Amino acid sequence: MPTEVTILGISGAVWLLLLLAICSAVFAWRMSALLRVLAMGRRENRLDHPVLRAWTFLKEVICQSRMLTGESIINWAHPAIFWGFCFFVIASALMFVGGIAAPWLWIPQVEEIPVLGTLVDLFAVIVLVGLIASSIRRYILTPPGLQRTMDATIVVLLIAALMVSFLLAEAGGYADEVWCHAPASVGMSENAEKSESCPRERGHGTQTFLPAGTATAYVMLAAGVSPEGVVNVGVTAWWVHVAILLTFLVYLPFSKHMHLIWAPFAVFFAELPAKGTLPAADDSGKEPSTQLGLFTWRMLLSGYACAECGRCERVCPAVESGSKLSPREILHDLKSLVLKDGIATLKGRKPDDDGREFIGGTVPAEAIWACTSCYACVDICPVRNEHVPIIVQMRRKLVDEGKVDAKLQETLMSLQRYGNSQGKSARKRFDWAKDLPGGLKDATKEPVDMLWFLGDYAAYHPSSARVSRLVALVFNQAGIDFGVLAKGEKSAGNDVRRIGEEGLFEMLAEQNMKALGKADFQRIVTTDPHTYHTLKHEYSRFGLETPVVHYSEVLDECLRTGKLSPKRSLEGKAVYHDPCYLGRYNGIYDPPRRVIDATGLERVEMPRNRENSFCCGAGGGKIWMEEEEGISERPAVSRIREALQIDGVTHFVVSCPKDLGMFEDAVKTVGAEDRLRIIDLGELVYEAIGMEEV
Amino acid sequence: MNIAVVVRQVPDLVEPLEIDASGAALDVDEVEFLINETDDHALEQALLLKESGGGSITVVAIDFGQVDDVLYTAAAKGADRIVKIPYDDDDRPPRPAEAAAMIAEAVKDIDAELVLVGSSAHDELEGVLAPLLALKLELPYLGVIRGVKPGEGGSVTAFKEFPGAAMAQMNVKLPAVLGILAADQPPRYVPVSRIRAAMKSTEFEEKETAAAVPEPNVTVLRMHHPEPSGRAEMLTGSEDEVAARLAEILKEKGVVQ
Ligand code: SF4
Ligand code: SF4
Repeated sequence: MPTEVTILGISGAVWLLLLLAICSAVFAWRMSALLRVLAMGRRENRLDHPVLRAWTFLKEVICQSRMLTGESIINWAHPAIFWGFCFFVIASALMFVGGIAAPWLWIPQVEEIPVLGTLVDLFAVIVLVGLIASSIRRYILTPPGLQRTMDATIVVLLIAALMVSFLLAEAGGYADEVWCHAPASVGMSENAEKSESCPRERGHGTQTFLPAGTATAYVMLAAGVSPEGVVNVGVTAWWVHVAILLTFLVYLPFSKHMHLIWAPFAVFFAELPAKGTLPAADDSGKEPSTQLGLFTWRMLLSGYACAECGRCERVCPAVESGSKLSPREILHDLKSLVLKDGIATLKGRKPDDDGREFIGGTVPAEAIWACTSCYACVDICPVRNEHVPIIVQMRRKLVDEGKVDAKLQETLMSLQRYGNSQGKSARKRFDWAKDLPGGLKDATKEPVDMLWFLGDYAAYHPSSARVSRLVALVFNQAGIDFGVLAKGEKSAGNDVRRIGEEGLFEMLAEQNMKALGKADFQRIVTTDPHTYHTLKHEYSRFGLETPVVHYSEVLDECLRTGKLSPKRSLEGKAVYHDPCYLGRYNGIYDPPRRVIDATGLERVEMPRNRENSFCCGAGGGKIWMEEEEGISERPAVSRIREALQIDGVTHFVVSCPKDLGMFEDAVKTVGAEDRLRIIDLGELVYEAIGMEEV
Repeated sequence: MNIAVVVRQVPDLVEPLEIDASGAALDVDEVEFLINETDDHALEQALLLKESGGGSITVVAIDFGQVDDVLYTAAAKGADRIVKIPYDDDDRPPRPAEAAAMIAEAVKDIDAELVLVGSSAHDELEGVLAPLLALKLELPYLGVIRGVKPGEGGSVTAFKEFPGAAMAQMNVKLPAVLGILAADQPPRYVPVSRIRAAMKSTEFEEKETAAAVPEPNVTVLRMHHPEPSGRAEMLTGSEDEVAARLAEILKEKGVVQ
């Protein structure tokens, strides 16, 4: 082993041990500081569902599933580098253990282990190729949002140097074994003769098949390096390799690229199993002592784990519309805050933030309010960072300080006062059903199978309320036994939560639970994906246990079981817009598509469909806010343009009451209302089953 | 500065208003009440004054309608004391003269240097409450104020707008009563969690008053919803028909040639 030398009178093995001990100590010291900073965050249990966590870890970290299905080049380069990294962890561990133990005990080195040795050898090349490809992507093709930081460059160079030094060390080993110390019987006798003068590099084990290392040796030989020279370079390269490894160990936890360390943890502690269920607000009544205390520890971990890859930025509808918001920048700022404030606090200093508030200062309020909570960023993030909960947490602070714009304030006051966002009397919630034949059943007066929870838009927005009436007629036609909370239904509060008005959300939820408690029903149905999401996932803490379904599922079921049967085949070409809260949040993609297919329309997909669907721009309470200045094009308009690019498209099908209004406006903005009909799934079925307007 | 803010309840116009069986009054049971908008501005102005120059805010209200909600919200926003004046009649809101007498008695005890009241209410557009209160308190009065700033040596600067876009800036020696039309900034939003916390922590001070209630000289004979005048013509038919008829009418009336 190269450690079997004496440097300054001390054995190489001891040097190695010493260096390793010092570097590990620095690493451990820094890591403990970083962990203590995480501990400044609020508590949140992320140890539930251990099996699911382990499975997610296996899939996304070990198998790199999120990378493999992602953007080109990096979809193979990153897994290649990562898997190489895993193999090299084994190789390096053996190197250190073997190097330290060498004077006393021979520990087999990775290049002596058949198969594994060959794999590691090949991975050295694969990683190099991966590094070159990812560097071309980063420095030449540079997708928007991908950062060309010094840190990234240093890390790439260090990894490349690790691979090269490894190959050189392998080459040295090969030269030593084959050219300097090969037994005469194996051949190469003239090399064997040199065995006396050749430094003995390995001497214990025998190298397995190492194509890349061997090739490196031959290239060196061809370049005129003598066999002894190759061996000597190998020894030096071994030490260089060790030195880089140790540098890495010390450098990484200080570097912006520390995602290498933290990303696997971030994935393990991801939000599971349901997506987008926000942590409850801190109701301890205590002001956190630092700004970090506003966030949960997992939110702070997001800062460490962020690779600054910019994927979140590339899918964000707010970014596309020219907003001040960039989810990547928010994470970047959070990372800076965590490192600066966190470490300063550990040292007992006041955070040196020039008195600047993080929320509303470093991260401008406009950016915080620009998010539609569409979850595209969270869904695409390879390290499963949770931008939306972080943004909502910041909104909570702004709301607590009363910093909301006038339009939003009016909406919140309306919600406080009337239980709806529309500034309308609660007594008018079911006005749309006034002339409904047979009327609406009141589930608090007679038992029903299905309780229809309307939501504000389906109840009050003119277009959507009209659709509500059609859906009621379709439900009647299907023989569904349904009713409503004629008195007492309030906004379910999904958007209120995303606005950050947690107290108001809780108040609404309690009022709704009171009303629901008086009703007799088996399941809840709603046409509104926002209402669906919050009732399904966020009302359990208020005691709601009944299943919740979306009307697209009900319509699908009715069409499949024959409770509804199309009387005529509709003509035209339809695209379907996946609402964020139905698709990305809850994975309901197929039922609405099957419903469209059943109506006879030809269904085609827009380029951004299913999990890649593009938000209409209404969610997260955005629909209640004044428009941010400097917006180039609203997301709904961009979405309509996307649909119009499809040849012969006639129908733009929606399954969300908010979408209806958003896209009706957008199609007018584009001036395409005579070409493209915005139609709700319910109305589509209404037409297909041949019901006349009643 | 010790500031008293008077808040009133007015019927919420979002909810349908019903006339009661007597046919001469609103059916109070069907009415939802909310804070009078200009009183809300008066409270906001008080909060702004307190924030810029310190002091204490006492909110005074007559116990009628859903006044507790209003008072807890005021406490959540930063009012220091809440004084509630008991009032027995659930069916009839206090008349302005009556209210002024009761409130004046309560305000006297507070020893306020500045009394802020909304300058009118949608059910009392005349805006007599504030001047009546000033009379009872024997304090100077200035109404229709848009913004108040702390001034020098026991005074405030009040801003008042006159027709023709003339703004007056006035120095008002305290104590005084100001009728507020608008605060320097719109009333703030207070999150529900703070209101709920205020509900737990706020104690109302009850202030019985024995003000002599003058009998009104005016009796309401009838109260009713406006009757349609019958002049409206509803256009029906297809879009084209409606458009054609509309064009005809505009021509008939000489709006277009
Ligand atoms: S948050 Fe995630 S997606 Fe966004 S830059 Fe960081 S690692 Fe990439
Ligand atoms: S949730 Fe949507 S709008 Fe909000 S930051 Fe993420 S991608 Fe952008």
